[in-house]
Amino acid sequence: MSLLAVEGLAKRYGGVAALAGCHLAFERPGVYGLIGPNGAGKTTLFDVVTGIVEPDAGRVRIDGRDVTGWPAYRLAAAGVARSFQECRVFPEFTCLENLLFRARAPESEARRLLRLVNLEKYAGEPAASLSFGERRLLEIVGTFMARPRILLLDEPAAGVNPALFEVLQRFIRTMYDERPLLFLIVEHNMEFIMALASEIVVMHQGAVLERGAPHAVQASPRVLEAYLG
Amino acid sequence: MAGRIAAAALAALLLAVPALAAQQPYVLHVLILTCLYAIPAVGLNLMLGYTGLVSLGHMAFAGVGAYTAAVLMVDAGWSFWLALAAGVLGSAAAGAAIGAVCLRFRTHFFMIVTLAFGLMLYSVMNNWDDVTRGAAGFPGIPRPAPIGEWSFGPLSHFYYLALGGALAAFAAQWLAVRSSFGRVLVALRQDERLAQAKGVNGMLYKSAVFALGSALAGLGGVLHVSFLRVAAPASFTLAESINAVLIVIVGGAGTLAGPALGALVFVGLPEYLRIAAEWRLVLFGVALVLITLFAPQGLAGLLARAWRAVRA
Repeated sequence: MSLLAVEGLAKRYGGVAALAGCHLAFERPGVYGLIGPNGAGKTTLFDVVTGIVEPDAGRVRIDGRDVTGWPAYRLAAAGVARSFQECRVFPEFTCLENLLFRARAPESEARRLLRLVNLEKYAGEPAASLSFGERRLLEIVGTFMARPRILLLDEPAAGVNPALFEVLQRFIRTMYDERPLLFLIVEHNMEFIMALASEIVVMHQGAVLERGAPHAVQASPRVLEAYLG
Repeated sequence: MAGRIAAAALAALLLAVPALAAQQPYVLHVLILTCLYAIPAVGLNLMLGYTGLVSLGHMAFAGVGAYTAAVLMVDAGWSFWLALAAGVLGSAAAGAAIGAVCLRFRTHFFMIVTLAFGLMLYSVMNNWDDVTRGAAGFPGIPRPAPIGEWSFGPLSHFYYLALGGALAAFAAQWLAVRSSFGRVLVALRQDERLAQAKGVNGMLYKSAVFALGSALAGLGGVLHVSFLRVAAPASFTLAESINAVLIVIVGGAGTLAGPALGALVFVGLPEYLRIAAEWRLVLFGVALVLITLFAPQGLAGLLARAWRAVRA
């Protein structure tokens, strides 16, 4: 039984098919990269899996259980957490308050996570006072406070400067080593995702084009064609 | 420590007002009205200030409570206290039901839908002659029955009722805001989508605060018509709902003391500007503009800044 599976997902926005018969299943925990040209349907897939958008057709299953159309809060309770492409934190809450909001993990864990990404000195500062990159780190750190089983990160490295970039990479690896869960990471930065992921899924025109080890995917003529079009 | 002393002094002052103003019924009258405006404003503050739900129909829910209590007292012979409870519950139920529709919309669409429901409720109050007595108003609403020798007839006695209602409303607000429920409300105002992704059933919480805010509106409505001895649709118009929004914003949206300060300015200032005769509304307008310009967090924000400056 798959940890997470989507079957025949379809979603149209007006005349645009964001998802068109997308099949994808993950049997084991791991770090999976999700790449593809703009408009390939990556974020829409995330939005469907996290309950922000209802699909026109197809099913979403977690541990074999049909969770299609569940609202976001229910999926969160079922162990799905995510970060957003546009980076969302509660600006008026302090960093610590951001982490503790609806958390399953205790405050000691929040402080430890802040230390891991060098944000502990801002624990009592409102999130609005952080730089964009730091806010991004805070958002990603916050997703672990729910102790998720499935974690979807939407372009975690976008807008993050090279120094924080390494912090982020190290953090994700540390967290995975501590407690293996299903990481699904959308990323445009190839260097970042190829170094991190054990497997890469390539999406194109709303469906899965290719799936395999990073070096194999990079060498695939179909992938090159999709990107260079 | 200094904060506690200030709070104790304020409480003592509020309790001593009838003694201090024994020869000043007008002062008492203004203070009673301030309390009666502050109570629904507390409800709106929970919605608008803490949750970010700008309702333009808030006072219509005060009307639902007021008319519910009026009918029960006058036509069914219920006691004031029972009718008060029923009025508050009636407002909460109306808020939950109408909120379920309004909350399907966000931002300015939400404002327009609440405005529309407010106008509808007003029309019912204004036209359902058999029950609400229509535009002429619903006369003969009693004050609470005397408790022992203590009757609620004299202004100074009714003042304690209004003050008690206001304190109850502020206590409810304080409890709500510092609870995990209040935390969720503030999170929803900042980023609803993020809150949902963290497991918050946004609709449930927003419906709850809509019902709670409406219940507080109902409390204010019942006390208000009992004070005036008449319920009139004119007390629950769109203009009154907009006044409630102004009270919350001028006082300081999302602050605990905001509704009290806003109501004080809103009721007190126009009254005391009467010496300026026909200029009073102009002066009042100028005052509102100045507050909005120089105190974006309202009077409560201004006072908090002054307090910090004094203590530093």
